[in-house]
Amino acid sequence: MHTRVVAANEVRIPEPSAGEVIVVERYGKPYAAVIDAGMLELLKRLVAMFGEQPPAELSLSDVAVKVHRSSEAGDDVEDFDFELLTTHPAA
Amino acid sequence: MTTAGASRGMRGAIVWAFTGFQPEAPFEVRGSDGSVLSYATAAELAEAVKNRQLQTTPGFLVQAKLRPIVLLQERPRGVLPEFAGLKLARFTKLDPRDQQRIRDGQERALFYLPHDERKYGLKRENAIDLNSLVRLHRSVIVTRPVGYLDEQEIDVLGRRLAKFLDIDLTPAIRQGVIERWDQLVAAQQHRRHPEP
Repeated sequence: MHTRVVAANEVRIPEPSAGEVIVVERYGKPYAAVIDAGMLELLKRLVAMFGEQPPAELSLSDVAVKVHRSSEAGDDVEDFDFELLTTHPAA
Repeated sequence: MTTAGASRGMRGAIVWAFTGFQPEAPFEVRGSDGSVLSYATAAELAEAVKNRQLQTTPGFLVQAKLRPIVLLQERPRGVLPEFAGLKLARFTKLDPRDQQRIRDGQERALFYLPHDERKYGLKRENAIDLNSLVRLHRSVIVTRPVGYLDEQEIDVLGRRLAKFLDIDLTPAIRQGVIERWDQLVAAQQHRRHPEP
């Protein structure tokens, strides 16, 4: 969502109260809307939630990568308890 | 350590299984005469198959590790012998501050399992690596379940796994929200303007 900021003294709009949406109609159909700052924050959160999802690899931390590499190399894995062959044999 | 097993099935079960390391270059391959051959790249290997120096299904020499795995799927009919699973990892080589980040749940790619031998059947704390998806044939599973994730943990794991597999669930969620919204608007309009 692209946001264009306009100074309040450059435009004349009705004053929106909290939680109110002022719909500007043209030819009987919604043309634009004025929302208050709280609703704008909600809208931004919804866009963040429902917008395009970036590849997860971009968000991987150094810690996650270190543990992944170490695990894939088999370097830092819990040792097998061979008693399990007796106590928990596979069916 | 829990003795639960067959009664709870395999979804969310922690088992010990052999997992093969991923083949990576240079590739060591068993030749037709049983000798071990090495190829620097996948393209060179494919060329050898093309020239009939190797079988069409060459045998890769890979190591395997016996390790704990959490299984993600139920197989009630038994017609699919493979299970999807995620590897469990220790994180002892990290500095203490980074280890604490995992314990505090600040690392989304690592699902922390505290030391709870009764629940998980493991002797140490572990983390499930969300980037370690594997498929396991049931024959490589060495033990019956030694422990289980609970339903809430399985649910969270599934949601996070979708993210780390780059599966975008938002279109489905969005569609659900839109459909629900349309239903609410239609119901409201019907109340305001009931049909005669």
